[in-house]
Amino acid sequence: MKNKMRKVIIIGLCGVMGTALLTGCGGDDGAAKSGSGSGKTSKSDAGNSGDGDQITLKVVDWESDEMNAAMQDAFDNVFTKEHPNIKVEIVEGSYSDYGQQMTGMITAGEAPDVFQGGYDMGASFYKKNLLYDWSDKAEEEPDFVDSFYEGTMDGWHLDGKTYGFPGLVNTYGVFYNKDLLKAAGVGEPAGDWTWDDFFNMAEELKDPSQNKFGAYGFDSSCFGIANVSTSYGGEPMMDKIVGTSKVTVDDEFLNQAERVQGLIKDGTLPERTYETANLNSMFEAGEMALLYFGQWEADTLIRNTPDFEWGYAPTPRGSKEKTTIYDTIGWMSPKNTEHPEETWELIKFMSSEMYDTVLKETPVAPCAYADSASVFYDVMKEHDHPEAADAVKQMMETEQKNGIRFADDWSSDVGKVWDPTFNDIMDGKSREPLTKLQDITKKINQIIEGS
Amino acid sequence: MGKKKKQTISTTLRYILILLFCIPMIFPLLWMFTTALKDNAAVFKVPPQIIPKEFHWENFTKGVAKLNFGRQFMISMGVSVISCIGQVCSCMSVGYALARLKFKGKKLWFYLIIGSMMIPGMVTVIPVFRFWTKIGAYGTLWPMIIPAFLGAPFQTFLARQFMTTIPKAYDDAARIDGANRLQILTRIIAPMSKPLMTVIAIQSFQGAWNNYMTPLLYVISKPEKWPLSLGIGRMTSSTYGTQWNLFMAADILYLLPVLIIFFFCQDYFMEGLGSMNNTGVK
Repeated sequence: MKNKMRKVIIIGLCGVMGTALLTGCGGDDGAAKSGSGSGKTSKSDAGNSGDGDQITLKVVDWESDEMNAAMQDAFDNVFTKEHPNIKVEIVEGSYSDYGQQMTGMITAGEAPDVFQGGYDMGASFYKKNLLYDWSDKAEEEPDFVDSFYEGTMDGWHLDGKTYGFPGLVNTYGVFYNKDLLKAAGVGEPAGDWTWDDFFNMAEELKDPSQNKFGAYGFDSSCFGIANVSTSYGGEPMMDKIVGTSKVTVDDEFLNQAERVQGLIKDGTLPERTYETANLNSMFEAGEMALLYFGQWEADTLIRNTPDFEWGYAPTPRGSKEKTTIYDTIGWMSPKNTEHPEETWELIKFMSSEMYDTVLKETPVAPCAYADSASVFYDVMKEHDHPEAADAVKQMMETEQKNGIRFADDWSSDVGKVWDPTFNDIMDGKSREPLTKLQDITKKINQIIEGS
Repeated sequence: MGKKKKQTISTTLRYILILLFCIPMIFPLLWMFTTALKDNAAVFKVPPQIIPKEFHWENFTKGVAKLNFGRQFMISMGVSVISCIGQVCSCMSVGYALARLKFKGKKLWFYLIIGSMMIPGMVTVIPVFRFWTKIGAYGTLWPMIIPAFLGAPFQTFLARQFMTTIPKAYDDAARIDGANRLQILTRIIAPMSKPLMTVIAIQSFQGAWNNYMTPLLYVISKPEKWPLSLGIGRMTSSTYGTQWNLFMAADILYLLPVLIIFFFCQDYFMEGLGSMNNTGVK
């Protein structure tokens, strides 16, 4: 009987597996494809190849299949038409293991011609002498370089060298659930709202009896607090976004840290150690009224929850000026790129014109290249979210932009010194005063000097 | 209290304990299955739905369609089966030598093999990566396949222990009949070592099937060579957020082969692991 039962189970499981296999084989194209180009990988090794007079350049990124398909379409139907001797192919990347992937490919000598990265990755690779220096090209074409939004090129220069160009910019505003705000009797955020408005709104919306905070996702790290602090006239925490030589924690920083500490204590904001991995999924499920998050979530909401009533407000402002946290994702090339002239043309295209078509299909972020940024705003308006378009545009045009992370190699050493104490102080688990953070800052500056 | 009553109480307590231990073991699988049947928005609903309000069986086909499932499955299966064969052959051979042959330094080699289990895998990642890259194996499946033929310390230890329980009289009888060492291993020892080979086969198959780190290091830049572990891993990383329902559905299908093999072979598996009790390290 036991053996018969076991056989039945085994046959059943084999049947399910077989069905899955047949379905999988039938859907073997896997990745969604749109446009005439293919978003799939090349069959030849990464790194360019030549085919007579035509050369093939390889690109690696971490974007979704949909975006890669749109990019391949732009390469095939726009770039290659303008440059018939250059063919471009995308190699799929892994989002979560991207750093591992790029390090492995570069170490193995199979780096692509152009690859995507954050400004911190760019700085790190530049310092290891792994990147091509585009300084000469940048000097020859100042109009191209000057066409990027203010502050977005800051993450791609170091020691007077230009080693990459920004593509997309991530900005951080506040998503709000219109239905939950209405039910709570709270008005929607205005475009010129302040940090006081945001925190007061969050206090009204919190519900400790249901374990619900007033706002989720607020960046209560040192970078988030520094952003708030600079909007009240405080000094920027980092003197430079890359190549930081000094970190400053002034009295205004401590004021804002104390404020946030109080909001964490009274349950308005989550603790520093609150799990943030699925906040956007929870927002999509209608579980929170306010979510401080990157603008890319707008595209997810448009795709996955078309009936959801949501809005997007810009980073609130302080009493002195508007500030915003931002993050640029850009394009760079390995040092030993074989066809620099052709790669330069491709990088220029990928930093600018490419997004004219790509962002229409996948509006994940505004382009750092100002002339191409309007595509994102237009798509948001087409999907009945003019407030999102205005919010992102406002943040892009904000002059005081603050970095979202340390971009230098000493950042992990600094994190070990800063994070444990900072987290415990902010969560109220430590009796140390906030001024302790200034003592730690001295240690951080010593680490930076010694690096 | 009567003997029967005592027995009933004891049996009841035993079953309650078993149930209590079963719940934390079964609940994650149950959650996985119910998540696979939900709409993505329902995954994060509070209070959580243990049993979905609507059953979305199409999530299994949608999840599979998000991957290059067929190709990745075949690659995973191919690598796992070859690894399985390689480990069984290599561990049986080395285990036999350590159990039966007399040579200088035998005990030292045995202790070195056991001692190598103490070296954390992370320590050797970089030098091994450099080695494979230098010989041109980056971007290929060889780093996943060849090491299986070079033995595994724990399985070799298991093999050695198991073979010491087999009476030497069998070897002697075979030798009298003119068999050489290889024939003794393949025709006498191996048939008697089915439980052992089953354990090694299951462990090596499971290890190769679930291996994420090695493909991540060597074939991440070649999506056409991705095994299912990489393909499914990519489902959780996307600029659009993760569709957890589809991920769970694909994951359930991913774990089916290991489940089937275990169902087939669980008797042999338990017997093979039981051989550890017998003689200790000699």
